[in-house]
Amino acid sequence: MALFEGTLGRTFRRQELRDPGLIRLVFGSTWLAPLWLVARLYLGYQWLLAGSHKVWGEGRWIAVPGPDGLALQGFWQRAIAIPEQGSPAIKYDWYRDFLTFMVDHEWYTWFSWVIALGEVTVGILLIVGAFVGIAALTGAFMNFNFMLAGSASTNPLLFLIAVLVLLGWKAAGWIGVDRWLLPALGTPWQPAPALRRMMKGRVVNEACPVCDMPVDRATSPASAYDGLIYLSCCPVCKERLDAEPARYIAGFGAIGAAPAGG
Amino acid sequence: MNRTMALMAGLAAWAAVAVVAALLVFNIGEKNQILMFLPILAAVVVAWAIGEVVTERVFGGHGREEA
Repeated sequence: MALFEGTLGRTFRRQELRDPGLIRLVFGSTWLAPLWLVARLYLGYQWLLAGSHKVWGEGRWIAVPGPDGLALQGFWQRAIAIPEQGSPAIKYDWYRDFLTFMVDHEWYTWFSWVIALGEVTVGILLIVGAFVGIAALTGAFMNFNFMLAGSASTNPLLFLIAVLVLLGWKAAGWIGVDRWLLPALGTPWQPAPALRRMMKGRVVNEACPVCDMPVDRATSPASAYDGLIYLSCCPVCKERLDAEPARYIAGFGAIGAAPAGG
Repeated sequence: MNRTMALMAGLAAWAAVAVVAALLVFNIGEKNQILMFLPILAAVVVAWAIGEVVTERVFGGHGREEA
């Protein structure tokens, strides 16, 4: 039993597996932000174009004479149809049942608005670089659903780009609104100023956990673990702390333990 | 006042990017993707430059807003 616990303890003890330098350079470095900008703009342009067809085009999905979403209804009906010969468009029965349920309940009348406005919104957000990660995830989710419904078109390529942008979300919005938006709202690696003010009483340390230099509660880089704020004296120490929090925070007790007087 | 103006300048610049992109897509559509892409890229570069010169200079970097 002790051997079993020891093995489990070693295997699942809290540690962070660091990405290789190349991965961090590609997905987390601002140096490649211009490359991410091009990918982001292309993706945003494609979504805005697709959305514009559904919102304003001649074959638009919404705000048409008669019930909305008839175009979407037609798309869903073609997707769920099982031909006498050949393969059906949808490979998974559970997804066909899902679309059939939506057709039977006439959900296309309001779902067409969700898709049309969703595509325009995702396009705009990607182009201006605001909430890039969320926008890319939403776009990838829509691509995924179109592909499940048997529509290939541009979806595989857009899905691939969306996944890449999603992986590089920290740098993808650097030349964009996210550069200011994310620090203002807070990120996993830098809690927002408002949150820091709220959590000031929960700052754990007076000295840098990495090098023991004094920290400044107002200006030092902050990291949040288990609802507690740990300040580093400089960005380099913060990077080391974020890479191996268990190693450096151990000096303040186990991660998650409330600090004395914190 | 300075901070408000800088923030408004940054917001206006990026809102202009959204407007430019929407106008281009609705007016040109997919007739010429290069013709579409370059003005959007140019608008982004202008907005980025405004952000660097005005907003970033006034706000003085990230995570130091409390200073």
